[in-house]
Amino acid sequence: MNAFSPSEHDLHAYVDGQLDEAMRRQIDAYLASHPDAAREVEQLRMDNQRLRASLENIPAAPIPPRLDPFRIRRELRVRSQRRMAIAASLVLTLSLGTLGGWQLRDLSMRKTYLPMADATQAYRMFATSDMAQKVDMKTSEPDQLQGWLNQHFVQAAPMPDFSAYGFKPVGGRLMASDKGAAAMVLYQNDAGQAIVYYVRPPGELFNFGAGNRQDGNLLTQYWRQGRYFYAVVSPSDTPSTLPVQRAIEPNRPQS
Amino acid sequence: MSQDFSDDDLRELLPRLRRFALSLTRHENSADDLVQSCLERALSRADRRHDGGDLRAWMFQIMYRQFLDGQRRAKRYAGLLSLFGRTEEDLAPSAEDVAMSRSALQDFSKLPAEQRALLLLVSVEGLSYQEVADTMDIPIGTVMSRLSRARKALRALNDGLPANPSLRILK
Repeated sequence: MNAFSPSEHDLHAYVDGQLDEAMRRQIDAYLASHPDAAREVEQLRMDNQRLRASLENIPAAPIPPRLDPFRIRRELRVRSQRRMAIAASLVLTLSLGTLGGWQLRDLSMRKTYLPMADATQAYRMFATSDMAQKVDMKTSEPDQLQGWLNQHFVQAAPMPDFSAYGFKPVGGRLMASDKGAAAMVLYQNDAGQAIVYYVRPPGELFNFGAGNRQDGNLLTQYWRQGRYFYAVVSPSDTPSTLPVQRAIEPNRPQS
Repeated sequence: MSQDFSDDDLRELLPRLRRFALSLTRHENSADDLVQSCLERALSRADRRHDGGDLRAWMFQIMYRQFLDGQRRAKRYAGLLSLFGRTEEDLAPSAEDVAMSRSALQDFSKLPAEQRALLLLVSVEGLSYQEVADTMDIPIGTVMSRLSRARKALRALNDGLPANPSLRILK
């Protein structure tokens, strides 16, 4: 009749209803004149029907309730909420731990940290009688010393005037601190007793207010003003420095 | 929610999903597990379904991918076990726990998983070749050649059987 001969795939597609109208008609015509192919198509149909019939009521068991979409949706929501809750509690725990740990570290460092310990050290090093002469700036003129301080510090507070208590400035010395230059000014009275006035930039870790600290026979009184920390270190085992100490801290007890 | 299908749409599909799952796993319990994880995946990814195509084909695709993933995992696990000197567990169903115990189905369940999926999607679900190709992630030409191979294999298994005279003739 004609040269058209459908492939095996064409026959399958024909049985599966996957062909367009034109192709289907062609195969209809072909099958009418080719009994072998028609038998094959019939066989394919039978196979399909057998499979469909045997799978029709599969699975036989009723649908278990866990497969209900509403229930699954709800469980997904609960699960994601639980995950969020776990994540949130993790974050909370972590931040609490971090914060707490940091506070603890801060606390323990504060306990061992001595404010203005460098001022006390400076006194020990340079205020002894034999070292008193080894200063960078040797002058008894307060104005010169103030000018020298102003060179090294921006808007440094005016030097205290202890002349009323018999202590006069005799020299200044630059020191090194962890945050840059520090300076000490040495005061002496006629008896050779020494007081150190100390200026330095604030450190990084701790900011402390005013206070004092007894360290051996030395009293370190310190405060903060403007950009710098200041301290006056004086011996506490002599009556001559008492008025100075009281002048710095008016509320200081009398003894 | 941006999804364009409802719980009822899914409920309506459930029997088909369970059948596809059972034809893949051949065990009723693991089939329902597969259906459940497929539903979970579909519901949590509903917003990624933007083509608006046939919901059934989309669900079949999710399920088939999950089935293949599960098989790969099982194979890896079996490989791991064999490292410890265990013998590989026989994953083929034993006579007792084959859910498809009817004779016609016994032959079907002897086919490889891919052929079972092909036959079910084409002959039973009536998906188009293109949808099957998308579902199983293979080219459409491959669908056709593997389909005819699967039918031959099934017929060879069936040949021992007498044709069932009480078979209803469906259109």
